[in-house]
Amino acid sequence: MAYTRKNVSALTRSEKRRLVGAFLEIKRTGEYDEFVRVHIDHYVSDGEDGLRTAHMTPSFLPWHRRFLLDLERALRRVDSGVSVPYWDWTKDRTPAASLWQEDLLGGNGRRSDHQVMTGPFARRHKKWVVKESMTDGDYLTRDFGRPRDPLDLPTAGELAKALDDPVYDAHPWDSTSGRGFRNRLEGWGTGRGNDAWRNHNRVHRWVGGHMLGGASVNDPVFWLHHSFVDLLWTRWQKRHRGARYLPESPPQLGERQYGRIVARHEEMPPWGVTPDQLEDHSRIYRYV
Amino acid sequence: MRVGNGTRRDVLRGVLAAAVAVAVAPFVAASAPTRARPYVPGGPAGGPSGELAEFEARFAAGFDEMYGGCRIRGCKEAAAGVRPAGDARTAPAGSWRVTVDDRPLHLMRRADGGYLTMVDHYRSYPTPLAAARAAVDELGGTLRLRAAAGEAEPERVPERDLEQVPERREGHGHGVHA
Repeated sequence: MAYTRKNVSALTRSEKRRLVGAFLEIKRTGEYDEFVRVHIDHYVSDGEDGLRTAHMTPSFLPWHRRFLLDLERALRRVDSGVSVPYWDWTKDRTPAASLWQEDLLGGNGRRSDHQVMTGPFARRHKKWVVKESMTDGDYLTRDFGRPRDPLDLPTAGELAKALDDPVYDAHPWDSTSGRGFRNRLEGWGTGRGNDAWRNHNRVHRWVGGHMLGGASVNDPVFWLHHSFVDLLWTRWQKRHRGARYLPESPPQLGERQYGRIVARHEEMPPWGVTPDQLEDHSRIYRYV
Repeated sequence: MRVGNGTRRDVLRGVLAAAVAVAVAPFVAASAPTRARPYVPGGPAGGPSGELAEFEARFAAGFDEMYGGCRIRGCKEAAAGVRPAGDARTAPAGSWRVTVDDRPLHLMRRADGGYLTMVDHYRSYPTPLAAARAAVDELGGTLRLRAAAGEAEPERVPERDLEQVPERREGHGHGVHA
């Protein structure tokens, strides 16, 4: 029987409390920091040599789907009644949204050092001490809307441009792919202004602080964001019936992406599952 | 090779069941496809390569500046770094090595020729210096880059001899490395 993932704005007080409790428990055991490390270790940029599984690559979506499933499984070992809710950032667009309140994720970082001071993940409660990070701070940071160089969350219109694309991904299968649902959703553009970074990337930038960097998993909102990104893949599949993960077969020897991306039936590190095996989640969970 | 829906679902379910049985760790890397020839990024038309070429010409001998209260230094590596076993991310020849207050800032290259850092990871910048300044902005005057693992304080970088700094590697491929 599939369990459900809900819109975070629909969670009851009790559901929020249980979700927070499960997060704090896997943080306490050290399991959570393993997720932070895995995400850092799998960030291979597309201008560098090596296999890209998580970012700037077709397997961006299945990689994060499986990553989220692992996290969710860890949470459900603590409390079998919880699942990872999704944050629809096209609708819940302000710091006043329910997910940022005291009883769930807490709010923005303070002005001086961007340290999150409210909610259960504030450093002073000693239950969410950042261990795996790019900087020497051990507290969670956020910088909503990037006041130094302001930007808004992605709009429904911006997202529609990704969902409307009938092709999953396209040559050259990286952050410069000009078409394809995957890169439009992942959000790599060109140019220098904030408008060049869309959808998924833009949300990371809007939250700021830890979410801006390679250690973004330190902020639990990472999972709520990726739960929505995961839902968007499912919505895209429903809209474009029969459209599948691409590329179907691996690039050939001599092609630029040879050995650097994961084709539909190739195994994806670190799990050894294929994108094909992750295209349909309906027996595991469904979105409501 | 097309696998039916039912099969795929079952496999996904199996994947989950297996995951329940095994702890999250160890994340053992599955057999990865082998690497092709070294990849040299090149900017497509309209990419940042023009600006980068200008930057490379101007700072051929490296850069050293104070920005936002931090000392940013960078130099271009002359030769390919040694590739430790299992590390697919070692910088290729000609890559930039950058430090902020003597701590290594891990720069990554984007396919269009741009640069990004582990601090500011969801956009790219046209030059290594622009990426480093953005990282300093993000540190906000209150945070420092984390020192490489195993070092309470990194060794000081000799004034005129940045390229002599030994390759630093962090424990898990996290933290920062140049």
